Amino acid sequence: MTASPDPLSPVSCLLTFRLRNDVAIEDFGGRSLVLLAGALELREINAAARRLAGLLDGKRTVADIAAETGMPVGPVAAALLEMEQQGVVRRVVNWSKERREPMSEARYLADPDVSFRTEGDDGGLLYNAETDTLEVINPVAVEIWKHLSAPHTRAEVAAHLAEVCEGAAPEQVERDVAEFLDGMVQKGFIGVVEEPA
Amino acid sequence: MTDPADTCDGLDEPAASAPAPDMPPDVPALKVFYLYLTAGCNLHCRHCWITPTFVQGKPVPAECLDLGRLKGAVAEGKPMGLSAAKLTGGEPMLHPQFREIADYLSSEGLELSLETNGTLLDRDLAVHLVRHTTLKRVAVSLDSPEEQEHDRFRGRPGAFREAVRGIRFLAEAGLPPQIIMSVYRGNLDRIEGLIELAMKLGASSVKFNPVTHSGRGEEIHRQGLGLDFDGHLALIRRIRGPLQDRYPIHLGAMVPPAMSTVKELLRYGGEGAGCHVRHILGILGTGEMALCGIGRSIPELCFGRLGQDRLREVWMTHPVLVRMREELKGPFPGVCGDCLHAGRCMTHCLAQNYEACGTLVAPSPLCAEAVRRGVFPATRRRQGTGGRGQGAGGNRL
Ligand code: SF4
Ligand code: SF4
Repeated sequence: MTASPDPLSPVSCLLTFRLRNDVAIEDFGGRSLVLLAGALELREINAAARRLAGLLDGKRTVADIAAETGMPVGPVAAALLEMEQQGVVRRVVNWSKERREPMSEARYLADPDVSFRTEGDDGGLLYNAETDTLEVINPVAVEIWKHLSAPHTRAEVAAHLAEVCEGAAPEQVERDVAEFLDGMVQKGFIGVVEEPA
Repeated sequence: MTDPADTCDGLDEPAASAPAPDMPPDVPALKVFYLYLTAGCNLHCRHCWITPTFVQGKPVPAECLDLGRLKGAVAEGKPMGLSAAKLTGGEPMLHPQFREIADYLSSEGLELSLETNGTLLDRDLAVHLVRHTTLKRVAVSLDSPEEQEHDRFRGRPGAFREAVRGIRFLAEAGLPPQIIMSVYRGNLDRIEGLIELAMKLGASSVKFNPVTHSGRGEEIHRQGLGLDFDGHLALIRRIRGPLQDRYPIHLGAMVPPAMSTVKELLRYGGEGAGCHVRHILGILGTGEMALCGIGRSIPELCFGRLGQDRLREVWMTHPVLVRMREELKGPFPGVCGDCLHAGRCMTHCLAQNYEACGTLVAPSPLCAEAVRRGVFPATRRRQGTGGRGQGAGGNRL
């Protein structure tokens, strides 16, 4: 899965991150372990990643952190986007869960605080603890959900789906994507990212 | 009738939560009466939860719901939101005024459902009910495609033929009924046969209910013929998986959602998932008001008597109802407090919970047993495994 935006793009400089609520970091001598409570997983992170994690306050941008650490912006953005993929940090986005007219350029993002559970290949469950709402999703929706761990437009989601669901008619894929996104935005599971100016 | 939730509309028909215009906002609308028209039955089923009086011909008059009192209850109930009634029993058609009651409730605009053993239905009555009343759903019990087996189980020769005839009359009249199969180890191998028979008879669906410990069902369990936890789950998986894949007729079972697979949740949606007992009042043949129908066997869940007590007052102030409503607001006890489905499920069938552990708002027996055995799915717990599911590696704790 490719993260978006490109770590080297100018937009990356303006991104802000924070640690996810269900994550704790413990330092042992020179090593750092991350506990992902939601997924019941332990991971080790290296010293550079640990340093970056310590600076995340949801306000500093990638550019701020790069300036503070003396590291180049590209590697900082890349490291944070990777930690995002691993479920360690979440992006702080200004997003709207309001229903709005479909906009081809709008970028959608799965609410990072929604807990996602899979049971085999049959589909999955999305649980929003904040609203105590549950959504059962089929395998195609699971694919979309995973893809939206980073912001994507409808067209990008449809293209991704067409790639993984071989043989599906493109119009049908586009319709399904639009229907899923609209429904999930309405239910507050997916938001529309308001890009930094 | 066989079990508290056999054909329970409380599980199948989500009731809108808006309060009735004439009710305080914190009191739920009273939407449905479960009318246990008579306590008597003309069969002697081995598993019946109600253990009705066995009646060779006529039911005991004192146990037949009085039409005058029923009219009073309907008049009081309509401003409280009453819009539907289920006719059940015992065998509801044993009530000497059965037809009159169905006509009266229809004239009041109440939507009707009926659960019956089907043996007393003739063509004329079926046509009348379908064409001239507000009857929308019927459930008929049938436990085997084999005549002798069904008759043995139902305790009377001829029960099978009469039930089958009743089902045909209903289907011909334009209201294909649901067939309810009470499942125990003695008829597990008859399930496919029963589904095929149901399709042949033109039934709308088949619902499977494992015989529980209540009423006469206890004897079946004492004989080792009841389904245990594993047997119950295996039955659910089989019905909702391969059998539903194979047969075009709708197959149902009552399952707490945490015990359903994702595939089943997708296939069946919220069907059979949450109980709407907050909007239901049982009225027994004696005129007693009760929690859905369980008060027939558990007197402490009776709330008063029509003709003596005001329906509105009972509904608004009876301590059992008030406490139940409070508890149903959550947080829920035991594993339900940690279950993703609790908001919708609300501890599933309260009547079954009460029979199992003496508490209405409690984990359903199936979920409680899953916890005891350590097989309650972690993915259904709020604090469960899951996270972002990105397939990332890492050491499991
Ligand atoms: S644990 Fe409780 S809330 Fe969850 S499915 Fe079972 S009975 Fe329902
Ligand atoms: S408690 Fe609910 S599900 Fe159980 S029998 Fe009563 S109304 Fe039906």
